[in-house]
Amino acid sequence: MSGKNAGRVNPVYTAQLGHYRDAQAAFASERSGDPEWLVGLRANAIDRFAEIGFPSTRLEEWKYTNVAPIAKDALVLRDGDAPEIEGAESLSSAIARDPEALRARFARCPASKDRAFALLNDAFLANGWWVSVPTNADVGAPIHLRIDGAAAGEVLHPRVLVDVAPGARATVVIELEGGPGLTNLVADIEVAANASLDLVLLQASEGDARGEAGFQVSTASARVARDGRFRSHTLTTSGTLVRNDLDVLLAEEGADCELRGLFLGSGSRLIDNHSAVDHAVPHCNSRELYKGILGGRSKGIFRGRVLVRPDAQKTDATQSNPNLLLGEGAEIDTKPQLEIYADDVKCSHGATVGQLDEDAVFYLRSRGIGVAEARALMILAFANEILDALPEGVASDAVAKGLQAVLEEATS
Amino acid sequence: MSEAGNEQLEKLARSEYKYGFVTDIDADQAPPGLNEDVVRLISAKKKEPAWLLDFRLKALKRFLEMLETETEPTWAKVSYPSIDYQNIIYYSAPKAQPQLEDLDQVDPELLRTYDKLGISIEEQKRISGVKVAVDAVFDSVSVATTFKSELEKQGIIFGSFSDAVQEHPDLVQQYLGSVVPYADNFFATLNSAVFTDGSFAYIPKGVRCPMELSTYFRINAAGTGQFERTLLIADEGAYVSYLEGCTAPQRDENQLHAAVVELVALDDAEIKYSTVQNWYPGDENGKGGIYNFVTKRGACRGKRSKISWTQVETGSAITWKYPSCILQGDDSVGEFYSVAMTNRKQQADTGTKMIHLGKNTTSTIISKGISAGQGQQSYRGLVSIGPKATGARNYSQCDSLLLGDECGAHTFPYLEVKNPTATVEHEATTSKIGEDQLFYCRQRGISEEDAISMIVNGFCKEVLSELPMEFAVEAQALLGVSLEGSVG
Repeated sequence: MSGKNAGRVNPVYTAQLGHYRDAQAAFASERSGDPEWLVGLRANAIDRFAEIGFPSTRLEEWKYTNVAPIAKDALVLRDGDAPEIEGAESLSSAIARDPEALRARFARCPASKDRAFALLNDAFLANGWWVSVPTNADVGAPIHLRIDGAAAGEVLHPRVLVDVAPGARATVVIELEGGPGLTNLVADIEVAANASLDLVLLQASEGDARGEAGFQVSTASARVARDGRFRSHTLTTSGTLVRNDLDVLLAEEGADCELRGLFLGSGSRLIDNHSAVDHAVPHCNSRELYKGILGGRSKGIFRGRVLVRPDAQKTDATQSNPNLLLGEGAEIDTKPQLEIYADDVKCSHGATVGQLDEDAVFYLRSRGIGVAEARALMILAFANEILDALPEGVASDAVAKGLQAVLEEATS
Repeated sequence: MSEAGNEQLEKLARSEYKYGFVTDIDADQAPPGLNEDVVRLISAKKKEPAWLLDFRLKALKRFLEMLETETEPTWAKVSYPSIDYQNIIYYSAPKAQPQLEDLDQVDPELLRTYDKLGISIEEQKRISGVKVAVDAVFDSVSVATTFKSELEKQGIIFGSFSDAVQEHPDLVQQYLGSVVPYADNFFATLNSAVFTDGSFAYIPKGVRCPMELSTYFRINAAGTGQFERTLLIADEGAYVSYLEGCTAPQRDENQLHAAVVELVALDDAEIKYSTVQNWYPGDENGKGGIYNFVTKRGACRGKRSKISWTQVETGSAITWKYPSCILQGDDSVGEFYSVAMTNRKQQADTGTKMIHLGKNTTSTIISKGISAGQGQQSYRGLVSIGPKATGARNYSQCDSLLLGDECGAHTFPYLEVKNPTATVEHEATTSKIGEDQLFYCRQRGISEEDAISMIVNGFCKEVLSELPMEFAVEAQALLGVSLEGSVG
């Protein structure tokens, strides 16, 4: 963007930059004893963030999502250590135990570059977990990371690292609790050769029927090695403004990924799911299915990008984004994109926007099922395609409650 | 693919541009550069009324501002060296301005050019039965108009834009810029300032235009950008089918083409706009082709009106073109059928916008992209359903066929739906010609070349069948010629 254009950006996106700079300086001085690489990482990030500010809707990636409600306030950092969880080590103890290993690990994370929220997370990097699944281990029960919501006027910057060693298998659940503040999660995932990971991102606060759960931003990136398998499940039923970025790099032949998502909008929520799959090498598969159900005056956004690089022959990629638009003022903006530079590939994408089939509703009613119940049944059936594929041991009760809120709104 | 296929492909890739030649005619031209003087010169040459000069000057002011603030669009997936807008000749006209009653008065050099292009005017005059009126744009001045009187009998106004400004200024003033405002986008603004000529058609109430209207555009004279302005109005209950075809001489220097086409359909009117575009795509290194930056938009103003765009894009080094429909009237219909083909180093970023505003509006998008050689092509489209567009319906299908491992095909659809009664469907696929399909054809005794041509034609059939008869033949031949050298 040229300098002149940047000048036209609403000042709300840059208003609090000084605040975050000061907060970061205070934060850094408290942690002067941290390893040099970490201090450097934070300093570079805050410098870059101060340069670019919060993203405006003039940016293609943020065209439909206005983050002014987040950018306008000077949010205060909520500090505190992550609790120890079985199967996960807190970042602070990992850094104290083996700073060199962590330095090497962070060096492998993709640079945050122009991603304002990821930069902000980098700048306040301290909290979070490192989940490391050893070679050939099969972790039966899901590793459940629960992140408490931020209070009003507060911001949290949790960081999660997930490494699945060769041949290992695991399920990791990251649950973002509700809270009126901002939760700004960054996750970095490495799936080694022959390993398999199911990652569940759960944004389904109980008792958040009308969107008191505040702002949730997540930036996740995953790299999948030879014959590795990565499945993600992104379930969003709470939050007033939710933005999820998920980038997957299929880095070696035979890598496979499946991205699934369900977003339920009620009230005046805004839920934005951005995903990108990078087919960097031949013989990789990707499957993507995000379903949206939007009631009330909620707004849903989906962007899916599949990139097939010049040598990535024999790629098989599909992408689908069906949406149910139920509310009178509801809106969906969807951008399924294919970018293909190889010829021997099979790629497709589809997106639909529609309503419940009135014929089917009529059929159910003719069988003696009430109209509200008939509609609820059909909405549930639509959502179940995602819920049924959740890994074992992941309770979807919270999602079911979110679904209930949408149902009530849609059928009332 | 087989050795033979590769050879075939290379042969086709090397095939020369069929229509590459330059006609030697003295041109009366403005000095290169863009300023108020040039705009006033164009306007004066055309003896334009004051309101039109104002329109141009407003656009010029805005364009110079845009140049200042560097708002030349960069979002399209195309790359080209930056254009020096101050080094372009904005006006050139054949010196002898013929007032034509008879073809004998036409410069024989010109007539030979048309012969080479295969649009002999004599022949067209002779042919009875299928009557095609040709308003041939040669460089910037229309030099021949045929069948005009026959159209006049029905009250249809069809002729060059400059003539329309002289003869029907009220109609032009009423509709010019009403679909594409002078400050709409970078290239449309440039066009609004310096457009030289183009076509104008008005179909009165209840009249079904008895023949296909067609124009052949042609770019000539070195370093001349051509800026056509086309305005088509179908009054209540009228129907018109308009054909546009393009070829251009072979050139080394890149030539800029920034046309604007505006369509207006009132109640129950229907406009069918078909294009076959075969401008010089550049040599095998991508040198010298035409830059085709076109703004085409139609407004379905009236109830039950319909606008249908059909395009076959095989030429140009760079194509930047999004024929759009604004569906304002209730029950109006928009259609977009496109075949785009890129070969060698051609780049195409094309698609459509369907803006649903009225109730029960319907739109269909069928886009077929064929990418070969090192060609890059993108489908970029928007389907927007406004909050008041109840019962809107859209179906989009974008398929890409890749031939060769150095080309690219990209799809960037945008669906924006703000009404819960809307039904929107989009699907896209990208694939190559199946080895099994080829094998099947070959074991039935069909050569690889023929088989590929057959499969490609089948791939495009849905679009080609939308073309008027005259064009369908030409388009199929064009696809064949363009495919030559890309199959393998």
